[in-house]
Amino acid sequence: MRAIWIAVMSAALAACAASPTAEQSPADVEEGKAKSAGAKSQAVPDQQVSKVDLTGKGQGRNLLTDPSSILSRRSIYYDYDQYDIKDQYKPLIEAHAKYLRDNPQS
Amino acid sequence: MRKLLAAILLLGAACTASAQLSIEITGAGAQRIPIAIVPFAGEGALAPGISTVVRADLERSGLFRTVEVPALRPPPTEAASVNYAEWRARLADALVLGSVAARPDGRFEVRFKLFDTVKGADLSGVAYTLSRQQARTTAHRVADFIYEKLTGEKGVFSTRIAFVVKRGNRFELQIADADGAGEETALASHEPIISPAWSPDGRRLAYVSFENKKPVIYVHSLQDGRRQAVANFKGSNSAPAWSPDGSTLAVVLSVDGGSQIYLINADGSGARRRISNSNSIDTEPVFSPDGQTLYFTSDRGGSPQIYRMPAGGGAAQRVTFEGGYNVSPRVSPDGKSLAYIARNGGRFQVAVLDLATRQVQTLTDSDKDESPSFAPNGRMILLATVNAGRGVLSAVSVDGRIKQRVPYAGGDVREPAWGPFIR
Repeated sequence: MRAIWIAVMSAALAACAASPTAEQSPADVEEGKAKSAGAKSQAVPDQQVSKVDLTGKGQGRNLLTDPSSILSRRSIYYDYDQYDIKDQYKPLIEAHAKYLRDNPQS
Repeated sequence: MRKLLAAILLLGAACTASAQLSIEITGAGAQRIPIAIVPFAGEGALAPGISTVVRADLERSGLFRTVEVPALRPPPTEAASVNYAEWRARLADALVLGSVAARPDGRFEVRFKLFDTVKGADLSGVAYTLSRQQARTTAHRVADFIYEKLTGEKGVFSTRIAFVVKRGNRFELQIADADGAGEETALASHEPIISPAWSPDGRRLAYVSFENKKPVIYVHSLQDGRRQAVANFKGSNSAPAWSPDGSTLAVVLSVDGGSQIYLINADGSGARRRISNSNSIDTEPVFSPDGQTLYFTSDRGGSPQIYRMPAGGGAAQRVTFEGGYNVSPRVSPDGKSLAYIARNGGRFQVAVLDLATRQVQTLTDSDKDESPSFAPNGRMILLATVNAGRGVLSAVSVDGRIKQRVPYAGGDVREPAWGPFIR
């Protein structure tokens, strides 16, 4: 089966290979040859776009007022007569400390 | 034998199915050139396959119909000799053969040739070297070559478009291929970005960004991401438009009171020059391709209409007379017609005005169209419209016959602008 198919295909291809001289005028053949022989590769130019992101830290939004930022929260509650900072508020204190360290002018 | 043939036919069908695009061609007499694009030998090394993108580009233009190609073993390359009669029998007027080869330096080489099967002529071809990431860009160049050889006008498949996508509270200015694929983000912001305008050399965009809580005009260099605020005056700074030589921007400022048109240097140097002088709102300026005339929108006559004036300032002339609302003018690349948004019975649609005959034609049947922009060859107009409550891009041919939806997943898409030819 496969053998038959290959035979048919190669016959078809052989037919392709044989006919074009009859089809083409000599000028066309010459032109085609000259072009493929002389065809030099063109390098495709690079069109990269570099990304500018204003949505990062502190840019485009106010971290101190944006409700999705931890820095918008300011309240820390203590237990009665205690000065220990409860674990749940530690990330908040650290976030504010980091913000002050990173933004000495604020 | 029969089973094998059936399998091969099925395979062919599968290939064409994957290249199917949302294209709709309306109207009579749509003549499409039948073309056979044989999968390039060895193109499996690149994703997406070169021939797939070329086929999709040509189909989408509405000027070509791709002919089914049986699986050929071994795949023919551009160097193969062509049996023209065989391809004519498959009803193909043109044939594309090509190959992809990996080079020792890790780059690739794509070679192809175009044949006219009717005349039995080799219409020549090109060879490109490219990186793996440039497969799509290269395929668009191949499609441009074929398009130009067969239609006589330049193709726009390798040009790029800019648009703004809104996702939640995030705005992104994106640059994509003309088919809407391969998008890259040039700017991301939590505040709106509007009115992108391509510089004539295609390297920079001018746009309005609200990142400082007010409209400021920036010029943004795409390759290195350098940005410069070129108009940041008191009040609003909006609607930038490039002069054809790229040296000047026409902008709309409210620094002296109402919104009026000014010229500024594109590098931000020097003083602003006021060129419109009315008690009404003058906005949306755009230069004619020869740089001599500015078209703009004004409500000086009571309703928003399009006017024109000399680019150096002077007396304005009204241009649009049909309908009570005509805005957002764009001049065609040949300067002969004007595309704009017209309100027709409560629907906002893209219209084209022939400047010589004054004939107006409405091109779209959608109802919330905005921001029209011409392809650099003048054949198509890109626009934003609303579909199922979401902003989408769409394109229409200048004769209104071919309409495309540019597929884009995710987000609300607005403010498209079609870039210039890539040099």
